[in-house]
Amino acid sequence: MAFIKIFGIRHHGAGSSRRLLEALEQFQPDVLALELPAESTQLLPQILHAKVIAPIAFLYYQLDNPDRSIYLPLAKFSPEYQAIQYTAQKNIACVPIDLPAAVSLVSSNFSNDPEAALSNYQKKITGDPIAFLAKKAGYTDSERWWETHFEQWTDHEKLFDFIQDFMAELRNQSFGLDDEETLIREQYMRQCLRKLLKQKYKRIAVVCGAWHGPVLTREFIEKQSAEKIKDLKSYQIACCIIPWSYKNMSLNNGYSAGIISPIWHEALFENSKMASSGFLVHAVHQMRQEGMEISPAAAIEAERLANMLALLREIPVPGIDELLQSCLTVFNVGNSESLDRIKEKLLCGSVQGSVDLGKESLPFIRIFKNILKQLRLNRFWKEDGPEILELDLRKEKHLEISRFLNYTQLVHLNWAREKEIESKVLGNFHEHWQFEWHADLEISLVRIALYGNTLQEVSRKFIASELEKNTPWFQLAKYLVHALKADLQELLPLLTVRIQSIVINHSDVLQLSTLIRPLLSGLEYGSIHKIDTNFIKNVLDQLLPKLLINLPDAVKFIDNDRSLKLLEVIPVVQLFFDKFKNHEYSNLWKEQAVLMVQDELTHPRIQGKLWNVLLERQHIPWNQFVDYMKFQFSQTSDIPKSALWFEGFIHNQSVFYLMHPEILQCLDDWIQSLEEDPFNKYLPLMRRVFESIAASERRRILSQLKQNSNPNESGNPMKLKLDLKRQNLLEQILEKY
Amino acid sequence: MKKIIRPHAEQAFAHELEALSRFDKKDKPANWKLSPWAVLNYILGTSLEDGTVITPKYIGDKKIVEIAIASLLSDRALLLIGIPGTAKSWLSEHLAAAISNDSTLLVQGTSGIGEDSLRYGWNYAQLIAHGPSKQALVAGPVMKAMLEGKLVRIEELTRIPTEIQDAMITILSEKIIPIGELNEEIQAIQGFNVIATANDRDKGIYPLSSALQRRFNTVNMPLPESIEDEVRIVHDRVIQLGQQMHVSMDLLKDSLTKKLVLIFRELREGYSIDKKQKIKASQAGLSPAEAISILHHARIHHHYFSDKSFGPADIVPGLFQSIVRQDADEKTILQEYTETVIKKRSEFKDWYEVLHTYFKEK
Repeated sequence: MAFIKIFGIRHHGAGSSRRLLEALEQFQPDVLALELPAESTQLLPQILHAKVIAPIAFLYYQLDNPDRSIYLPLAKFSPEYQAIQYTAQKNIACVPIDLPAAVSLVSSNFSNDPEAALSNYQKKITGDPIAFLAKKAGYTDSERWWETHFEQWTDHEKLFDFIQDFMAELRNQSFGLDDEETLIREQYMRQCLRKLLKQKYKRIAVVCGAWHGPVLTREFIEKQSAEKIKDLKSYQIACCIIPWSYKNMSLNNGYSAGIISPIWHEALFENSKMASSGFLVHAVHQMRQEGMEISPAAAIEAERLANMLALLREIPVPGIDELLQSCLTVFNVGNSESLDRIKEKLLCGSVQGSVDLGKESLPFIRIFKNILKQLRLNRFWKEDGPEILELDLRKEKHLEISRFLNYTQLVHLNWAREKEIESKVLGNFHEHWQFEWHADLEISLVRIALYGNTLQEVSRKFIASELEKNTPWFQLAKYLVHALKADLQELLPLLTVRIQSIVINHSDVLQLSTLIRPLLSGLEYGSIHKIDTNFIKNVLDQLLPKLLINLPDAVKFIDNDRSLKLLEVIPVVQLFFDKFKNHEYSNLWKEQAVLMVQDELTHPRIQGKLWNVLLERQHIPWNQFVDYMKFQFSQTSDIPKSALWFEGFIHNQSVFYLMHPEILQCLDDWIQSLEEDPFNKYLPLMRRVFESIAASERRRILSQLKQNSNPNESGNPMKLKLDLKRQNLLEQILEKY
Repeated sequence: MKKIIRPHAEQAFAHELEALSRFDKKDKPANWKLSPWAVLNYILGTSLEDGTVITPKYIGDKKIVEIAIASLLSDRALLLIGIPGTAKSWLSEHLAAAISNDSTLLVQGTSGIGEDSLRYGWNYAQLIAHGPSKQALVAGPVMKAMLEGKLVRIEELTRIPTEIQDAMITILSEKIIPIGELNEEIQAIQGFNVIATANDRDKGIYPLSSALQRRFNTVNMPLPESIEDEVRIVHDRVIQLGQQMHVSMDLLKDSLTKKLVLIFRELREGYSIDKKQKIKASQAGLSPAEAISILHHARIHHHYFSDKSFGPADIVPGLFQSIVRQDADEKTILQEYTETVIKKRSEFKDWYEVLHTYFKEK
């Protein structure tokens, strides 16, 4: 007759993991029954694959509705993970015995009677009885309670017998303290064990949550031999292994069975005697990565302090609380804010599992690939596929494709990007997309798929995580536009609120201006497709006056590098007001621009640009400009300033006004008037300025100049005394380009 | 009988210390007068087997006190850091009283302090008569603490210029004071340690060099977390001060303390207590210590100069001054707060009237 031995464990308990391995070694089972959903059988061989690296999670989801799913995370220190590894090493069978996920996913299977439901307090006991007991004993770190109570046991099997008795007593005391689901699961587990008993096995090891132990014993199974499991519905489900991370295993990230610090558990699992040092070494490394200089001596001090704290609190060894508090005190100069900032890294590190097989079984990826097929985008999702796709958004199908492509952009799948259409011959309904596929995209897809199971869920969680980070402003504005174009209505308010609060709280002109272009494209899209874009208008109504009012001061007293950056602000603002001619703030812009060109303190580069812009819109009379030119390029003028002004003036190849004979003459006179030294000195600068002009334009300028300099042909009354040698030299240089 | 204005902690609480030591059966580190657990009980308060009540000296997070004591156990120096009025000096005095039964070894940090105060000085008459010699040496508080194995307190460490602060480095890392003139050194005996307090927000502070900072375990003293704790701190302390000054007790109604503390917290945190209304936050450093001082002065003023019953009219002038003192902007903050928050609260009607007329007159 077969012998059943129960190994009651704590999920993710590092201590229980180590003891389990030792106990199994002692017991030498010929089969191992494991508390995992019955469907896991197909996943077990995969976990042993060399390319599967913990932490991982078993994912079970309903085929038609991937939102309904169960995750079972497994780390190196999880007893279940070690048990599976053990069976592989010993080449014995590993049998999952828990209720199939297909059944437990159907919530109507279990009574929803609120009377019968467990209170939160009761759930705490049944969920992790060991943590409950540890807490009662005054421990905040239940792993350390385990350590101090069970670590000195040398007989590993006896230890598990003790736990079994312990739990039996606890269950006796609290009988009836179980919800229907737990009871059904235990029935099912007994059923599975009955089947195992009928087979050839002699020594059956049952590895399950400690709470279930007492009702899975041989005696109990036999006593309940007549029990029948009630009829249960089931869904069609699929399951797979997905990569997981320590961050996702932690309690703070919404995983209800999570642990405070996976890193701490890992340290305990690796070497429980050195666990404090192990954790502190990790902490020191993380802090150094954050730029804090922490010496090995400080790490030693931290461990000493943690030991002292444990002594004072009358616990034999420090736990995670003592370690964190001593990190705070010794490393962090008492500043809990800076510790909070890196707390997650301290607790979870950046440990990430990987699974390099069967990615297709992730629900999001399957949905994604299905859409590719439906929209006939498959031909772009491969190497050497076609590169350009032209869409006419008046067609329903094309609109759908455009929405999908915007979606991929939103979630940072760098696959397709919208090209600007140069001529608007085709009208506003056209979009050109450029595709570039590379192998990394498959990896990106897995990364994105981990956010959730459906397109909506993924985009929602992706944006939520982006909002947590310090994402650049213009990126947020881009997200807003992509969300608009991808028709993800639920994201719009989230993003708008954040952008609005940025606009209210910041006044950096350069940063604010980065928001304009994406917002503008959102507005245009909205007006073409008749979508309500008032939320964008509201943001702009706050942004524009703020930008315009701060601009004149932002372009004063700045160095040349910064002026180059600010130079880009002007065309963006102008672009906006060109598109919205009668905008509420058009006049303000005009006034501010005039103010800036007249202010001597405005950086000359910006001034040059503004002159050009104002002339083009006829906001400033021509003769005023000519006067200004003559003044700016008079022979006593400040040469570098004039050169910078000129660079700004012809920025983005705006050479139209340069062709005007009067202006060209003025410039020509100025250059000729330069002494040799300053001429040589500023030649490189002028060259750079002229190089930015297209070759054809330069030739036109040259011919214009020749005309000017030849009084006979042009009838120019000005007689120029040209040094012929120099003129030829200059012409040679200019011809070259 | 002549009475001392402010007895030292070990004098004022001598009976508690004596009782604790009587029942203290646990191990004491060398030269500690009490075991770490008894020190913890002394600070946090408890009652002993024979019924002696140990009053709590620090009301707030137990962890803070545990970390402080554990730091002193690990023979690294302790630095209590925080904004004014977070009981830094209070805690350091009581720690010294409990551990060394002596809170008098004290260096008060000022910007004019010299290295002498941290190390040693000379008795010039002796120096001239005998030349550099042991008789002529005058030990400072730090040196005394080293010789006797006691705690020394350095108050306002960040008020001491950085180059003078650095004199502490040898003391903390080598536990010696070299006396170059005598070609000798003083070595600290067990039980010696340093508790420093520092303020990281005020104007006119010198930053700690990182070399010095590394030698301290740093505990950040928080403001009281709950309003109940803060009311208790303010109330108990004001009563205590009143007893020392023989100011009649019955005047201080609890709700007045509670209302003043509420105003302090709301102005400090920038939102109303129910978290429904945003308030422009004051930067005036509205700590429990400030509330204690306002209430205490109000009571003394009332005791000698007023015949009406004690109420907001006595407290508001102090409140006004402590907020407006530093910055004229703060006046608008208080005024806004009066008109937008206080005005709406029926239970603050008397406060509002006083505050409102006060602003009209100013």
